[in-house]
Amino acid sequence: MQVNQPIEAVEFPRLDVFIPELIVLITAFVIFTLDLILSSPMKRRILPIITATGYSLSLATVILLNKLKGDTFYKSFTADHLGTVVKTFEILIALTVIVFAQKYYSSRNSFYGEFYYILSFTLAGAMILSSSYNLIVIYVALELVSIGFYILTALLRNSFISKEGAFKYLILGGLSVALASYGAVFMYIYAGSLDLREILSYKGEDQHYLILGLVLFLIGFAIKIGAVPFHFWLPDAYQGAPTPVTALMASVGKLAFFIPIVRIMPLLREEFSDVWIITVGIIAAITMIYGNMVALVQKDIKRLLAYSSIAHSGYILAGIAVTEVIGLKAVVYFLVVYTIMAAGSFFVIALLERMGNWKNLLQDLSGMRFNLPFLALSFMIYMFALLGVPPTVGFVGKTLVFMALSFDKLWWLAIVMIISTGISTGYYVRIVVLMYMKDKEKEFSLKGTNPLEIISLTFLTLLTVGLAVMPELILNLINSASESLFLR
Amino acid sequence: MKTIPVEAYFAVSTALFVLGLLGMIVRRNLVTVLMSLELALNAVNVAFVGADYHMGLVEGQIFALFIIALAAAEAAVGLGIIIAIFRYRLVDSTDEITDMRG
Amino acid sequence: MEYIGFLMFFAVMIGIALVMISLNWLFGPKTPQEYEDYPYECGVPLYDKCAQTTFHQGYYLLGLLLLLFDIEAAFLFPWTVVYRWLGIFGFIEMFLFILILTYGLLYAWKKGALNWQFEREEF
Repeated sequence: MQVNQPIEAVEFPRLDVFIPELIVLITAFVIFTLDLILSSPMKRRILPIITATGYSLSLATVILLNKLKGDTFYKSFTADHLGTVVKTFEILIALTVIVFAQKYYSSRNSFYGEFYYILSFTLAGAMILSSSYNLIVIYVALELVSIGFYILTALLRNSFISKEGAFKYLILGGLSVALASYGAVFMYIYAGSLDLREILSYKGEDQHYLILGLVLFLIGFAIKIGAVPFHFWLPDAYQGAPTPVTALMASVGKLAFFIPIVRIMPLLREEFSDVWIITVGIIAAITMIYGNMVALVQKDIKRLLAYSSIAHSGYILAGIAVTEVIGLKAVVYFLVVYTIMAAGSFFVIALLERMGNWKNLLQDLSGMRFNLPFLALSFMIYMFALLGVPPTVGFVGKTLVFMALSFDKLWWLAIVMIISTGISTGYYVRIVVLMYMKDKEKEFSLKGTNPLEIISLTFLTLLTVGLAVMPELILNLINSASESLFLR
Repeated sequence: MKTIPVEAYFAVSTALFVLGLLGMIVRRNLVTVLMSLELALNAVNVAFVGADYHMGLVEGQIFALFIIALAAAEAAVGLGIIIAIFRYRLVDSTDEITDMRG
Repeated sequence: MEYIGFLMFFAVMIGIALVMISLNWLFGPKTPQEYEDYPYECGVPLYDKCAQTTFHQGYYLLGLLLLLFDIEAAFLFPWTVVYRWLGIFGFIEMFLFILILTYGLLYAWKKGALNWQFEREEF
């Protein structure tokens, strides 16, 4: 928009593609009001129910309106198939987070009504972030998700490490936002527009600004997804946060932070692909190797899973280096199934942490099949999925990424990926051995599980296997989403 | 009137950004670290407004306005966390909040 | 000599201030208390007589609230510039925005962040 340009009359925006986000936002404000009005015992009962109802409604509209496509709010919000797939999983995971959060917080003697509406705002931010090309909207949604995570990380009574993790997350997260918006400046001065589609299709004479902008933007998001060498905050934040929140950060957060990079992929022109492959490929290679190596020596389970999450960022980034349809398919599939694996494994820990003498150490897992057979079984399935053993989604995801890499002849990256998967066998198999082949050292018993928790965990575990046995359940959707993105 | 080239704005903003970055790394006081972060974010504002002036557009100023508002929100959350840390342990240095290692 | 009026204004200003202070000193009530020599603290009870320790946490909370509401008001300025072209749609948009801000104020009020009469501490 030029200075002194006459202003046209404002037209009413198209709202039908924005309904799911709108429902989540309205839910957030309803909970906010109720939290101010109601008494404490009422809140404990009512707030989770209303939140879950709102999310379910939103999930229903996402699925019902999956055919809708198009821009709204002056091209700053774009609804498409990729957004539908991503949002479905984001809301699904957020729903399960509510189920596990209730008992977790009451076992820690810390109930906050704030948890529910900040969770809703975070979810709304994640949903907006997953369907926008406009840099302003990406920036605002990014801050909405991040600030939500900072608050959720710190919201745990009598826990210093949660505050510590939140502060480290805040500083590094703020730095990442600053870097990403600094990248946006250079993209803006290159094309005179803040829409990623216009920026990347603009043919200017001086392309240094564009490359500089893209690299800064990529580094900003690399901090958010915890890619090495920008990962320092991630283990601390994951360990310090309340475990249901850790599950949310590892799944919904990672998914949402990856989507802007995924949306840049199909827009890149041929002449940038070399810069892109070098930058992304090297970050991916370092991330995979480092994450898996450091995870080997961890003693705390949450920290181990945090490093495993870093390593998985590496696998997904390796897929992003392939700027073809096949790469996009692999990345989207791996991203959505990773949310299930990560959320499920952290939920198991959230259940375990409710037991009094549980210290989150690896030794505590030994002989878990005698004490808690169901949890041991589901944790084993998640470990195998994270490792990539055949009848699980991790295997399909890694295979797809590997196929994409071999399609683009990126053999060095493929070899690094195989080597780092080999390294990761060390700690995943050790956990399974501890659970199934060692005698128990301590007595653990889990009291008072909510049946909903068991149902959600079973559901996620079944998805972990089911989406691998029948990948066409989501692969068809992902195929159409990826191909429509590449049509432009 | 002699106009200022856009590179001059970028030079100023880069200098501010690097100062903020250095402050985040070098300083030990929690509030100072947060202030350095704000400095880095405001460096982006300078660059955006400079780019706008150069091109005669207004989107950059809108972006700058959003950065100002959201940086304030982030600073508010950061100060809240610092107060919580201070209440818990009466420390205000980054050297003293290293409970988690590994 | 054209600044003579300015100088006269200056002199009258200082004169009035001096007269006011001396009148106050002549007729004002004299209650010698230990507080009188302490620095003025914006209407809050004094809690620190040498003003060298850290501030009370409540000040940070207030500063934080001021920061938020002050900055969010920045969005009103561009709106006022283009308000007449936006019509009823723009009015509703800004109404919603201010409603959300009011929610923030209600939250701060309900959680007791506005009770800023801190308890006096020992000194």
